Amino acid sequence: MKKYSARLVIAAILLLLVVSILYQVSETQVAVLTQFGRPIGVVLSPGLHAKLPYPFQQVHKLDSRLLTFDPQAEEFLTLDKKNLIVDAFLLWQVKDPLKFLVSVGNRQGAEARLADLLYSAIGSELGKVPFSALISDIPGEMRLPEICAVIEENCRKPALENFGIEVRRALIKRLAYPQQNRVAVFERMKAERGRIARQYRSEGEEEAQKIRSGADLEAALILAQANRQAIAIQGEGEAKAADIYRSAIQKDAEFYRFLRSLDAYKAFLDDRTTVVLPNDSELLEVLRQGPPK
Amino acid sequence: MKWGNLKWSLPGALIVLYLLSGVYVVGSDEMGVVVMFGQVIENRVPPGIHYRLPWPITSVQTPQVAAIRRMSIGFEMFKHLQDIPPSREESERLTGDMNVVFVALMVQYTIQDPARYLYETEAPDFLIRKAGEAFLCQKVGTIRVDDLLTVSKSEVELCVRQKLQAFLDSIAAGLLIRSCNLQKIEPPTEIIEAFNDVARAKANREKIINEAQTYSSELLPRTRGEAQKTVQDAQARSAARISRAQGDVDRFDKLLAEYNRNPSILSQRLFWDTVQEILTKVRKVIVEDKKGQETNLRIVQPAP
Repeated sequence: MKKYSARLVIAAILLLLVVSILYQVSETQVAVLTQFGRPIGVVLSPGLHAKLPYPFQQVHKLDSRLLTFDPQAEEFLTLDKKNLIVDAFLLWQVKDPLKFLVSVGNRQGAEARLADLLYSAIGSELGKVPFSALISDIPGEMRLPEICAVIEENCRKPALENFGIEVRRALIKRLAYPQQNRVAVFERMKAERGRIARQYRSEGEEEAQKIRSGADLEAALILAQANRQAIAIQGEGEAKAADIYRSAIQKDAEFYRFLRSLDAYKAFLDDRTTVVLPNDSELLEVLRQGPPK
Repeated sequence: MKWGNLKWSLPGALIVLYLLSGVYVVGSDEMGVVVMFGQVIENRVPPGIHYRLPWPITSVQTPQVAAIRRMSIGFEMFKHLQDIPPSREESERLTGDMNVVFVALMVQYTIQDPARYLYETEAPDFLIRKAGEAFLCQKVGTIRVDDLLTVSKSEVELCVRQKLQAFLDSIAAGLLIRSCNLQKIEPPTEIIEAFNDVARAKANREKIINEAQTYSSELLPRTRGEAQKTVQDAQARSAARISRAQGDVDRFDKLLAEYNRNPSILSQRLFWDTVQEILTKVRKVIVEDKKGQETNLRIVQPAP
């Protein structure tokens, strides 16, 4: 029994030694090895590694993944003195673990420094550009991606040199009017909408009127044309008729006059006419004188 | 080995059980990533039953690569789909003509590279939301609010999708965007009435223009018909006039031929025919002839 427990103690000590010597660095980590608190090396590759047991050497593991830092949105001023709330975020990664560990220690420390860097980079860059470089419906005037790239560039160098941090991306994800400007902005939008609505209404009236009067004009032209044509046709008919009459009359004008007069009498002496005949009228001659002897 | 000796069978069974704990299953929509002491040794284990060395030597993760994942930008999704809903603020965007709109976008994506998805970036799913917001902000900031509310929807979707994919590729996130869909584009509720009024005014404009066009398309054919009738009437009158003249002349010619044969007989006959015809119709008054005296006639208007 005594022999048995001695074995157990030895096994336990061995296990403890193994655990304190071996350490694992995962795919998402980098490790910094310190000896009596002094950094002596960096382990970048994931896997199983060995070190001297505590208290000789110690391992500090850091997150090697691409990390997101999304600080609170802040108000900034553009070149043309317009207030704007800007919400941006950073993607960063530990590049130099040793420097990182010494300068900022951990993620909280890193984020505090990155916030300062990001805000000052945004502030100085926005101070150089007009509002229309951030938001504009004129093609080519909006330069937000380029501005983000400049901000990114301005964060990159100091972050790497001072904190061993690589800034991979800096992006502005939201632009907004400050709370105190919102009422004025909404009023402006409302007024603009009103103007557009009025414009649509008057445009509609104008367009409709144009179409109607255009149609009226065209109709009038069509009718005028038709009337002209009708008058011309009628005149042509008259002329032809006159020509026909003329060629006939020429044959015997005297006889025509006689015939035409008879026709005219027939036409205008109707049943509403009263004819007064003296009894010695030639018309009644036979009646008066009796049959010829 | 003797069957009666149980001294070694208990530890033996434990060892077998331990070794068996290395068996794992990759589901049909999953892909396995095996890690040995933190290092990726297998990154694309297909669905099925597999074996790995047991804990603590290796570990395995099986993300669902076939499943389409969804991430909302600017609106709340159901709780079970995504834990942290975005705030109302997140959906607020500024348009190119400096209007405020609320825009919500739904991104659908799948895991393209499970090892990258697991180990390259922290919370890659939420990175889609943040980057999506950034690209939405950039795109909406170049479009007028009227276009955004009407015609530019697919342009925005396409642009955000392309930029988002390029961004995810540039940071090796191992994600593939399947689609970007705008779920909502709304003016602020405070002034939505003004926007509705513009929509009404626009519809009204179309309406009265249509009415005018209807008026025009009715008026013109009718007028053309009228015009044609006017011309045809004139043609008819003209033809009638000519044929009357022709008839008159024919009659004249015939009478003239007769007249030339014996002028006095024809004219006598015609004269008396006419006198008879006229005197048959008219009222007649015959007064006695008293030479040198005036004749008084009371003219009575005939009854109408």
